[in-house]
Amino acid sequence: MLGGSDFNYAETIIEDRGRSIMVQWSQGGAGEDMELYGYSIRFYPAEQQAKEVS
Amino acid sequence: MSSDATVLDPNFGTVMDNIEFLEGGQRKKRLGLQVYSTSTSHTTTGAMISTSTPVRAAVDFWRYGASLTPTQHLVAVSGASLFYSTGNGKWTTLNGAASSFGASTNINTMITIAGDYAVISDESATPIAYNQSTLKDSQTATEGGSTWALWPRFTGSRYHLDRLFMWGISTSPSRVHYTAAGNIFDTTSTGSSFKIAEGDGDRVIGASKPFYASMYFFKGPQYGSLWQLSGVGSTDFAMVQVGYGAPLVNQRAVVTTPSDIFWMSQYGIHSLQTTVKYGNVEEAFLSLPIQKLWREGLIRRDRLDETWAFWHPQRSIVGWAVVPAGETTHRWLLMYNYALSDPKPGGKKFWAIWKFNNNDLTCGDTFLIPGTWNTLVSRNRAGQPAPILGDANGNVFVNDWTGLSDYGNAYTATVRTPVLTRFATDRQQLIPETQEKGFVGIVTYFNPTAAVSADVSVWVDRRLQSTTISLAGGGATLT
Repeated sequence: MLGGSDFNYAETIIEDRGRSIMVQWSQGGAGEDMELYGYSIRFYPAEQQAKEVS
Repeated sequence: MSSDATVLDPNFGTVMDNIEFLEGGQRKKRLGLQVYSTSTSHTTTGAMISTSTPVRAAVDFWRYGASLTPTQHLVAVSGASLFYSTGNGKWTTLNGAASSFGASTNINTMITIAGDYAVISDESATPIAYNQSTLKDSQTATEGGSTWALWPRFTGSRYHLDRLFMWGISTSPSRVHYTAAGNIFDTTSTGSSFKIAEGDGDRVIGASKPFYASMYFFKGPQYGSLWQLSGVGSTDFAMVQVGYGAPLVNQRAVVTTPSDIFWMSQYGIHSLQTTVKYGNVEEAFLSLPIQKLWREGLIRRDRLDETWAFWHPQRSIVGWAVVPAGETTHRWLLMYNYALSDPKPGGKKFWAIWKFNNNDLTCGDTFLIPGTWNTLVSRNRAGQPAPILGDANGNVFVNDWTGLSDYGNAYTATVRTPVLTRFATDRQQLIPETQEKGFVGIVTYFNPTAAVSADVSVWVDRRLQSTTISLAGGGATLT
């Protein structure tokens, strides 16, 4: 009663590699709602030292 | 490997457009606007005079008189005319549609509920009082059987200790007048006046409502100072300076809540509690997370003096209307959630910007939704508080529409993280900025609503990928 119990999640696949990431959610429909709880980012660490030719 | 599933850190958002924070910090699309009119289509406007005549003040006026049953009127000023509404969605002129109460462009119009009257002032016109049946101005009326001693021509007023306090007087910019207790029209018998730091380079700009037995006066707009008036009568009134700097920009930019006083200055947004405890250094500004608006000129500094504010007690938010840089209309509201925020320097602050694409919001207040209008538009919110927002197009809007459109117009809610560069692994290792990561997925946690979708954009080292996710229920829905 004091808090909702509805919950869902959506997983979005990214195929990229880099040093930084920024995420944005937007919802612009008339009469349409959006309520976000949070997010997490799936990643794996790559090489500890940059391998670019310098 | 996945980063911690995190409720978005409020200090860690770079865009929070049209977002309201719920009790758990959830980011939810704000409520929409509905026209206060007799229209039930939500799209038809009901301008008081015309769509080119701005509304410059609108308040909720409850009056008991000599009855235990109060009556509610909405009182507004549009153009040079005064209006009232009994809560039926209609506006009726009090002094004629072509009357001459001040100037249509006046940005200081104020209505104060005092002594069973709505006191309307803007300095450019003779102040006037309305008791839900007649208008009284200080030039013509009698009160209590004797000739009414003239009010000064003031800009703004507050009701405190059964007295009317008045400021913004052209002949004495640092002076505050007050009336006798129990009679807001008696400026001579026991009422008097005082000056606040005359000649300090500022004038009295505004004042708070009564707050813990005191009233606070703001001087500005150059240097800024904050003064506490204590005492219960003219024989023991005492004034002490409690704040320095942070000059108030407009008398309508002060919000008094039961727990704090908030205001906008030339440099940011402040609260009394935080200012008195921590001073007016920038780290103590409530607006620190959005200080970029002032510092980099993203809002028009030259029109900050038009700023007005409102309070929504049921949603624990206060908001200030500003003009975005490069634009001409007051279509942004800077919204602060004081229930979730930590006012201490460095504490988390929950800020959002509400952006109205079709409005120029010129004034606002909170009213209790009248039962008549509630029935008319088939709502279920009679008696509940909601913001009423006056517009330059002559309309008053109510901002609590769960239909989630601005009188039929869509608006976009947007949440964006900053650039995230450091991640922790399951073994408590830190993956620093300099190390590459392979990004494989974003997991979004949300409250399922209906069969609608949201756009998700991801920048990896500024390379953009976009997709759409469904916000529908199903799957892991718990009921």
